[in-house]
Amino acid sequence: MSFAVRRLQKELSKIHKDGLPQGISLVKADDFDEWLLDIRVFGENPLYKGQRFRLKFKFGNNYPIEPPEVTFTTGLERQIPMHPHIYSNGIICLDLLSPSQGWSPVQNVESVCVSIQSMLASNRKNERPEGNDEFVARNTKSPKHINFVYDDPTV
Amino acid sequence: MSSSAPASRRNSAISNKSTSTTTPDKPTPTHLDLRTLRYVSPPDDNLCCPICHSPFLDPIQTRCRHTFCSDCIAEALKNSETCPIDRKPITDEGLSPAPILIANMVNDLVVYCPNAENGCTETVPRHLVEGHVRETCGWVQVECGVGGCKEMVRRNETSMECLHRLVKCEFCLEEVRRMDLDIHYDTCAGISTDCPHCLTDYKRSDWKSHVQSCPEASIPCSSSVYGCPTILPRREMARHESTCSFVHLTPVFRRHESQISELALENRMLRRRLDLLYPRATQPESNTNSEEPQGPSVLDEQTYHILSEQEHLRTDLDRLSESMVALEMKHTMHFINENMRVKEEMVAMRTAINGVRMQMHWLLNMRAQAPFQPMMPMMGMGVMQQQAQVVAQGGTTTQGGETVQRRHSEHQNVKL
Ligand SMILES: [Zn+2]
Ligand SMILES: [Zn+2]
Ligand SMILES: [Zn+2]
Ligand SMILES: [Zn+2]
Ligand SMILES: [Zn+2]
Ligand SMILES: [Zn+2]
Ligand SMILES: [Zn+2]
Repeated sequence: MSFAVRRLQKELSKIHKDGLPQGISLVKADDFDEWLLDIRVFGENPLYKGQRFRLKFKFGNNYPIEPPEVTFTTGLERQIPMHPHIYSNGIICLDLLSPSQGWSPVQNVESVCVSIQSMLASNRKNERPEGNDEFVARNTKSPKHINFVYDDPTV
Repeated sequence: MSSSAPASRRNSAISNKSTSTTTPDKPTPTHLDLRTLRYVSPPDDNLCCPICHSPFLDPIQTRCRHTFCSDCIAEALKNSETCPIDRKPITDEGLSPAPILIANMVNDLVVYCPNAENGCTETVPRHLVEGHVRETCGWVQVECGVGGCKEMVRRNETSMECLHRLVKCEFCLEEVRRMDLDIHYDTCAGISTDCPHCLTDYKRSDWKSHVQSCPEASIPCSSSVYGCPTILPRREMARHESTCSFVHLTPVFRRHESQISELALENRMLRRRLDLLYPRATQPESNTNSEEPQGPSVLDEQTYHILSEQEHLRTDLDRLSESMVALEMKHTMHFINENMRVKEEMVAMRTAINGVRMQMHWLLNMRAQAPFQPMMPMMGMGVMQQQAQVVAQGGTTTQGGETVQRRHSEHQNVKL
């Protein structure tokens, strides 16, 4: 049993015992490779009001030393949220998820969800990142290995 | 065959083991991973490493006074040389063992024996668990050791006697392992047993097949399924069967049986077709193949009653929905007709208003120009034109004098 599996077991039993913060719900955690969670944004932000978004977590063997790969996915009534740091293919440009910059092994699934939830809640711009179409058309790399430039201090 | 001897020896095995140093403690190859331990009571969050979420193992403190397992912080530093909690830069030199108090608290946490799922019920403080597994746990696989035997055996099953050595069965002279001897006796070809029916001796290996054919064994008549209650020794059964009326009737029973099953099949198919034609709420019809000609039971009658009632209701419902549809059609038609009429009227009114408006314009124009222009020819032409237009549009003809009043009232009409 790998380090990652043991840690994820702990997180899962804590979620089952204590639940998740408001607006975050566990959709699927059948194994320790990939989990699905739904998030909702509360408050009056008209961009996301009444919508649910689905996050896909992919864990490597080295989790939590290395960050999970977190992307938005589409699905039944689930769209990719409009945000200047979220590409239309679901890739999220968030320094917290970068192995070299913001990630720390004390983060966990719940804290990542909360960060993404607040990143949506504080957004007022109904737009995609600059160069979205070109990026989406050309990108084949896994999101963890893309070197984003985290230049926006407001996120 | 002293079958009780090994058992009694086994009881004393553990005490023997500790005294006998003839079998030097070979270290068990299974290295115990302390991270997999299960804790008897959920550990305090303050004693858990923020990286692995388990109680600290070999706790280490950073210069910024944060505590982690030594392995966890080492892994984390490989990735990024900052404290995982406050991101202050750290290097290996900045790490020191956590206060002894913390180490003692996590070491005293009580854990289950790692062999709990195999049966060990011991719970020990964490720092003693390695000793328990190495020295005393009865569920650890150890080498048998007797006479250099390399077979693995559970520690609480070791004994002075090696159970793995081959012994000769004293009855058939076959070689079997000591521990398998009891099982061997059940099928040993060298032991003979008396058949309980004919009291003759049979070898154990042949015994099972003999019982299947022993002439003294009691067996039921071959027509017992059709109701013959006779049970006789096998040798007398042939005589009974030659006179048994059940046996004579067996072909008839068989034929009936096959017919019934055919009918049941047909019935099922018909019912399925019926269901397709009249889809109905599925009712559990479990006994479709027991349609034998016997009076319907009380339950059946009730079911039929309910079914016929349901059928009535269904036809009623069908009728009702048909008339509903008809009614709706009628309403729709009526509505459309009405709507058309209203529309036509509205078009007519709009035309009329237009006519009136034009006339009014013309009148106003005329009045404005009156002082400068000769009146009669213009007016005559204008009226003619307007009249022609109004007639062509199917509106009402109106004369100049009343125009202003009419316009007002017609405007109101349109609004309605
Ligand atoms: Zn720190
Ligand atoms: Zn740890
Ligand atoms: Zn044990
Ligand atoms: Zn042995
Ligand atoms: Zn034998
Ligand atoms: Zn016999
Ligand atoms: Zn009979």
